[in-house]
Amino acid sequence: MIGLETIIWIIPLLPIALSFIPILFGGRLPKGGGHVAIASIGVSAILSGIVLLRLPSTPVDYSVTWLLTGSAIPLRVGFYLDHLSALMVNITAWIALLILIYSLEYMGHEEGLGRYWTEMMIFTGSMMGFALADSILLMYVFWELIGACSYLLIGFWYTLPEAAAAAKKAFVVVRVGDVGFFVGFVLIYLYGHTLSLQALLTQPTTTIVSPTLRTTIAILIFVGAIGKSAQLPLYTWLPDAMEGPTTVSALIHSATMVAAGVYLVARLYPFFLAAPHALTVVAWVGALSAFLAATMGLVSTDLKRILAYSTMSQLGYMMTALGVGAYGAAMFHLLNHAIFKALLFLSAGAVLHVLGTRDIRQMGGLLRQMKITSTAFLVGALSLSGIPPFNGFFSKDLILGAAYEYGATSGNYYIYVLTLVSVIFTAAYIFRAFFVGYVLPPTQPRDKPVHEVPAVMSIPMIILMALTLITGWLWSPITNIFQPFVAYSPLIPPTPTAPIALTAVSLIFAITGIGLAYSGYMRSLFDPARLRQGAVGLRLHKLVSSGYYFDAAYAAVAKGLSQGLSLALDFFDRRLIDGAVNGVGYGLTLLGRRVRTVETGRVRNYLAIMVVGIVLIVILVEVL
Amino acid sequence: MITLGEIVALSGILFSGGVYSVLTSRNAVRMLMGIELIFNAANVNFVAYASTTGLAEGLSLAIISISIAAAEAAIGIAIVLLLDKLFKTVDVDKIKELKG
Amino acid sequence: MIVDVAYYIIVLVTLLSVVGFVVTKDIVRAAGLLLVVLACVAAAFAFMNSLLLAMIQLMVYAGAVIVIFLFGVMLTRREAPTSRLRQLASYENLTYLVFAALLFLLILRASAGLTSPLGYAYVSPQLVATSLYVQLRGVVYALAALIGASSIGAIYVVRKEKKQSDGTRGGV
Repeated sequence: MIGLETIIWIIPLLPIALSFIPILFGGRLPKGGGHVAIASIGVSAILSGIVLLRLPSTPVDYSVTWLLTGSAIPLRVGFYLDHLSALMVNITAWIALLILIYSLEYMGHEEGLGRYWTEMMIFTGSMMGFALADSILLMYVFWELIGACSYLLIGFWYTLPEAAAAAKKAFVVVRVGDVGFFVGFVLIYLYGHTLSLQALLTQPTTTIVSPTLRTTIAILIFVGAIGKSAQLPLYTWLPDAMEGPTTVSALIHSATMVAAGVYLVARLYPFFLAAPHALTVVAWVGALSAFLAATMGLVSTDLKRILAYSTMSQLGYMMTALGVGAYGAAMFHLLNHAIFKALLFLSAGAVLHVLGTRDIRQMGGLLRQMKITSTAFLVGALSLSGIPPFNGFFSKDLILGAAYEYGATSGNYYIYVLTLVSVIFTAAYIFRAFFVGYVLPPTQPRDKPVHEVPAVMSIPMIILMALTLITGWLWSPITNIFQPFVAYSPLIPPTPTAPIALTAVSLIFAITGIGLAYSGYMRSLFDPARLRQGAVGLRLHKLVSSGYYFDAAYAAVAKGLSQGLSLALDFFDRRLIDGAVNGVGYGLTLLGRRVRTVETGRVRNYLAIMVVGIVLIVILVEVL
Repeated sequence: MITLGEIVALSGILFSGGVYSVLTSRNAVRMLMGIELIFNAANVNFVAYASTTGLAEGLSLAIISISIAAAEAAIGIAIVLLLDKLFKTVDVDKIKELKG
Repeated sequence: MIVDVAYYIIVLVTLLSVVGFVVTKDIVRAAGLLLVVLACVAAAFAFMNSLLLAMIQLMVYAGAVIVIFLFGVMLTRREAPTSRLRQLASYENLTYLVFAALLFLLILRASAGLTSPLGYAYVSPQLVATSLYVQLRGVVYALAALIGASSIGAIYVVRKEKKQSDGTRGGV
């Protein structure tokens, strides 16, 4: 059998190596070369499953020396295999496989399909490479690669101005975060003289000696995570990113790329633990993002945007978990969220595919004709709201419990309160989407026939539905396989457990949220539209639906900067440079006019000039 | 004893007087007369050097110079006469253009 | 001693004549003063022990060139005599005065460096002739050729013009 050393290299590099095929030969291959993509990702998935089964008990670093820099530290490249990276690789590979199968039909009739497959292959390969990378530099390389693929895929329909603008926005906003990551790891290299993950994970305090420096680096790296995971304040790109194809949203912007930020913090968790106050920042950012995103999801009418805000909110939960010391809970929620969010997106994609609209007011009445799709969405919604026995319940409960314990130990209950209140909003917005988008008939009668999607699209949904029922039990009050599995280092504390009463509280809150949505939309016990009117409601609605004015602020800053710069440059170019050139011309004209006066036409003057010249020459000769 | 320098001073008087009169005369004939003064200054120099060194070349050059000056004076006057015929004036300040 | 005095008298007369030549507004008077200057130059030549050149100067310059100028004066229009001094006092002419003075000062400075006494060497006409016709004969021939050619050319041009203007054959 092939050894683990070889397998570990094949997993990320196979899709990348074969990625040139669809874009170059897609015209001749059926489905634009999609089978190549599915085959390569499938191989990577199977191999990562094998890796998971044959996991060594201690982490292993497979690396080779890549560049010999002049200093004593050569640059090594390679892959680091431990429980966490094995978990992440598997999540990425299997979910990518399901989504790619789904997109055989979903994207089947698109122009430029080869491009799609190629970009998806590079993305998946880079994501797996990111999960397995053994040095921060290599992580950064793959980090940038997945950002680039995200840009390309959001702007897949590049002729649409909204898509192009969204892709650009995504790239620029995430870039701002990337600067933080870059500065962070440069500091690690300068002060720690190493980029290797193993050094940072096993000896964080000796690699970087000064605690303030550790905190600074940790926060800078977290800024990178904020950008990629769409947390406050660098989140404005995620709702707009929904302009891309739904399969892209499913893979990149719910399950994998946005989880990269969470994975980054989790991967460097021993380092973060050794940096005082860094985790507090993480927790606050996570909690606030979770809360604000949940409110924004409640006022949106675009189905995919609701799901985008939901992603931001759930990522906030994961960051909160990491911040309060519940590393295990965070990773568990990452696993579960990947499954149920992909499920939700695939369902939304099916509706989009059939109806051609994203507006939930124009959808509806789908229960009879699109049974599988509607059931899928319902299952995903229940999981997201945290209703047992679906997987979301287990991981969310753990996070809330850890937040409570954190409040008990540190006295800071705000984190718990924020996450708890978000539960209501979460349930409310997702069931609002379900009721308005799937159950209730559309506001205008529809003329298009509605039919269920073909098996290629529904089977991945069914598989994901099954998974939501299964993965929850990996870590329940009864069984606990997950927690010991994923804690890869003795430095990581176990997730604190909370009293059972809290579980009941959060369940009640979740059901309340569902009930609110039900009574508002299904039973019309109160009119949600009325909330929007009235002075307070109007202001509030405007505040929330504009994304708390973050977008407007960023646009103003960008406009101001670019306008200011262009005004300055224009001034420089027109006044200074043109002025100089014109001035030279003008000056020469004046000079010519003066010099012309020598040509008088009078013989005497010419003679005089001669005499003067001779005299001057003689004087010069005398003097010198 | 008269030094060579004093002869050269005489030549200098003639030379600068000639230059000045060439520059400040409006009459063309007067200009020509000034040019003759300049020639004479040169001749005095030649003879002075011949007298000092005893070489005959100084004198022969002076003779050649005189003959050339005479020829040039004749041609100059011819030109001035033509100028007078064409421009109806010999005022050099008024003769500014080649067309005529 | 007397010889030196004679020289200084020559210089004085030359100076006065040159100044007068420049200042006078009547052109005929200017020609007369020019004659005086030429004669003084001849005297200077005599002073320097070369009677040969003094004779030649008088014959050619004082004899022929001055006549040419007089003819020139006669045959051209004279503008109404303006005050020469006023003309000389203009900015332009004052500038020229300055430069002429500068020139004179330069020459004086050069002459101050030449302190060797005048040799009064007598160069016999035989020596002059030898130098002219033996060593400098090239120049003499060229001059002769030039003057000859230009005379013939001038006659030809004049005859052609005369033929064009009145068609009859006039005597040369």
